[in-house]
Amino acid sequence: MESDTTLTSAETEQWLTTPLTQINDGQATATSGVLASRRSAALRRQKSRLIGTASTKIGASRRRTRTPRIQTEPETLLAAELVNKTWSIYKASPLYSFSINLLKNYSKSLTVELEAAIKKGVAVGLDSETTCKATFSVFEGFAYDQDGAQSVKLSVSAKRKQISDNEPSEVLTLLLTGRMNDASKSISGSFTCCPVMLTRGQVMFTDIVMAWMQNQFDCSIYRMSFSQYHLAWMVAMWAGILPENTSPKSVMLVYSVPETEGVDTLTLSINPHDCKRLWVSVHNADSSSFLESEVHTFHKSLELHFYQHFKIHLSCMQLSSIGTPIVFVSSEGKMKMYSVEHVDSVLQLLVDLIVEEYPDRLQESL
Amino acid sequence: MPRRRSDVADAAMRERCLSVVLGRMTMKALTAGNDEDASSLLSRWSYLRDENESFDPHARSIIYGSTTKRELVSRLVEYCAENATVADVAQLDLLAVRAAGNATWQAYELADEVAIEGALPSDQQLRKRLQRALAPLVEHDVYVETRAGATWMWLWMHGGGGGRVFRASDVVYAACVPHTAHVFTTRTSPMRRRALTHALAVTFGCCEVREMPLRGRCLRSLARLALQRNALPGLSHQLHNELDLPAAPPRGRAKRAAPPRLDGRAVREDEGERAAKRQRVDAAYGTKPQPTLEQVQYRLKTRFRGLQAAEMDSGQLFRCRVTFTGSSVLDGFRNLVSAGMATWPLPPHVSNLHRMARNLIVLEDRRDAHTSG
Repeated sequence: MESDTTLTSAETEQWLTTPLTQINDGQATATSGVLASRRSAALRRQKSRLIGTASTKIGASRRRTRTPRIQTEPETLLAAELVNKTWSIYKASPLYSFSINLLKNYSKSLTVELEAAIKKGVAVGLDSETTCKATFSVFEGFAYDQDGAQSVKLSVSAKRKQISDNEPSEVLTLLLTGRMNDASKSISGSFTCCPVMLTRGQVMFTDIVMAWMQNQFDCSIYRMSFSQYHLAWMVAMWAGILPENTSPKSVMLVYSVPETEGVDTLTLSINPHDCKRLWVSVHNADSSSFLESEVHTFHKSLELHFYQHFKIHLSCMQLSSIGTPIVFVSSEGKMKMYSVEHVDSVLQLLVDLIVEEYPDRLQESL
Repeated sequence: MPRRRSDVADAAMRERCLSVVLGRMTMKALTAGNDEDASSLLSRWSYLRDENESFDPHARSIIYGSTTKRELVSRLVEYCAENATVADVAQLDLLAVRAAGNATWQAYELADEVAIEGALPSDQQLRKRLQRALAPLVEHDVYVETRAGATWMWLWMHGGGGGRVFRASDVVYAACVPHTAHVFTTRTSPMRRRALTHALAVTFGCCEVREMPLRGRCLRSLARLALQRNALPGLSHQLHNELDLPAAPPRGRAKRAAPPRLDGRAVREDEGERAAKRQRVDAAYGTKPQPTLEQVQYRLKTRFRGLQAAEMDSGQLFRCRVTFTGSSVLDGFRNLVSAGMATWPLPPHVSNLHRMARNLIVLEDRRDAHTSG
C-alpha cells in the first residue's frame, strides 16, 4: 500500500541525480581548489560520502562532485551481463599506459600468461591438457562518461585439448569501468583511471589475472570492502526505490553478533512497501537532497522498533550485508544487482567511494 | 547356474545403493580410528562383523589400505554388493545419518495426544505395519531398528515399474522417541510426505499426524523442546535443567577458542552488576546448555514502534521478519543478556521459547490495542 507521501518516479529520479549540497546542520558548503588541512579532508570525504549516488549536475563547478556519470544503454544487454549475478568488487589504482586500442595485444599477452601458469601447475585442478584463452573487448552500451569512453570486458575461457567438440567454458568474467580513451583527460597523459573492477568466476583465474594486470599496468588492485557506515547509507538511499514491473524484494539487513556464543547472525527482512513508508516519513520530500541526519533517524527508528519487540540492542551488532529491491551488497565486497534501471546509480556510488580514497592531487586531476 | 534377470537387476540395485550411501560419507567418517581399534563407522556396521562380533579382516584391509575415497568406495562395493541386502544398506545409512548429525528434522505431533506406549511394537512388527500402510500408496522398502534410545525408520519410497533405481532423495528417515506423541522426519517431497504421514498415522493408530512449526538438526533438542511444550513453569524448569537425556555432542561449541584471559592488573568495576545479572539469567534459564535450535524466526505483523511511529500511518502494519541463526539460539539469547546486548527481562516470546515447541513465531498486535491505537 502506498502512502500519501510516496515519491513520484520523476522526483525519485531527480533525487538520485542531484548532488548533495547540505551536510549535518544543513549548511551549504562548496569546495574550491585543494583543501590543505586534514580536518577539511575528512570533511570532504564525509561530504562526498553523503553525496552517495549523486552525479554531477551538468555545469556544476565543484571538482569534488565531478565524477562522470555512467551512461547505460540497451537494457537487454545489461540484463544479460550484469543483473542477477553475484559480482566481486575490486578497486584499482590508475593504470599506466593502458590503451583501448591495444586490447588485442593485451589478450595475447594474458593468454600466454595463463598458459604458462597452467604448465607450471599453479592452476589447481587444471592439467596441461587444458587450454585457456583471454579476450579483452569493449563492453558495448556501457559508456563511462559523456564522451563515450567505453568500459572493457575480459573473458577467460578454458577447454580441454583432447576433446575436439568440447565447447570452451567461461571461467572468468571481468569488467573494468573507467576512463578508457587515450584522450588528454587521462591523468598526466600516462595513467588511465578505471577504479571499479567487477569479477565473476574462479578465484584461481582471478588471482592470475590480477597479478598480470598489476605487473602489466603498474597498478594496485585490492578487494573492495564496505564499512557499516557505507552499508547503512546504501540501505537508506535505496530502500525507497521500488522497481516497476516486478515484485520488489524485501529490504534486508544482516547483522553479525560479535563475541557471543549461540547466535551468529541476525537478519531483519522488511516488507519493501513498509520500508518505503518509513523512509518517506523520515525524508523531506520537498528537498532534492538527503541528509546524514535522515539516514541516522531511519536506522534509529528501525533499532527502536526492534528493541520494543525483543529488548535486544541492534546498535551493538555489526551490519555485515544489506539487500534492497535493487541491489544486494555485503561488507566483503560482493554485490548482486536486481534492477537494470539502477545499475548506473549503484556503479556510480562505487566509483565515488573508490575515487574518494585516491590521494588529493589525484582527485584534483580527475 | 545362470543368474536370473531379476537377480542381476537386484545386484545392480544393491551396488548402486551401496555406492550412493558410501559416497555420501566423508573420507574422515569412513576411515576414522586406526587399524588397531577399527573404531570407524564401518566397523560398527553389522554386515562387516562376523559371528564373534569381530571386524572382518578383509574389510579392515580395504578401509585402511585405500588411499582415496573413490578407491575405498569401489573396493567396498565390489566386496559387499553381492551379498548385502537392502536392509544392510539401510542400517549403514542410518549409522551415517546419526553420525553426521547434519540432517534437518521436522517435528510432527500425533493427534489426540496418542502417546507411543512404553512397549513399542518390536522392530519387526513396526516394519510390517509400515509396509501394510504404505503398500497401497507407493512402492517402498522399509527398515526399522531401535538404537540410542529411539526407534529409527529408513523408508525408501521409489517408483516401481521398470526397476528400482536408488536415489538418495527417495529416502526418508524418521525417528520416534518412546513415551512421547512426537515423530521426527527428514524433509522430502510433498508426495512422499503425504504418504509418510498417512502411514505413520495408521501405524500408530491416530487419526492425524500434524506438522509442528519446529525443525532443527539436533534430534535430542527437538525431542526435548517438543516434550516441554505447554509444560508448567516449574515443570518446565525442571525439565529444562534436569532432564536426564544424554547430552548432545558439542557440535561447533567445543571448537570455539577459550575465553581470553584478563590481565591480572585489570579491575572490573561492574563485577557486582555482572554477578547479579548472571544470577537472574541462571534462575530463568538454568545453568545447563539449552536445547539446540539453529534457527528461530519471528514474523512481525505489528504497528511501527520506532521514532517515526507518529509520522507513519498508525493503522498500517510494519511487516518484517527477524531470523536468529547460530549454533544454539536459545543459548545465544541467554548470552546476549549476559553480554549486555539485551535488556533483562526479555519479552515472553523470547524467554519462554523453550516451552513453545516452535521455531517460527508470529507476533501480532492485540486487537483492542490495534483498534484503539
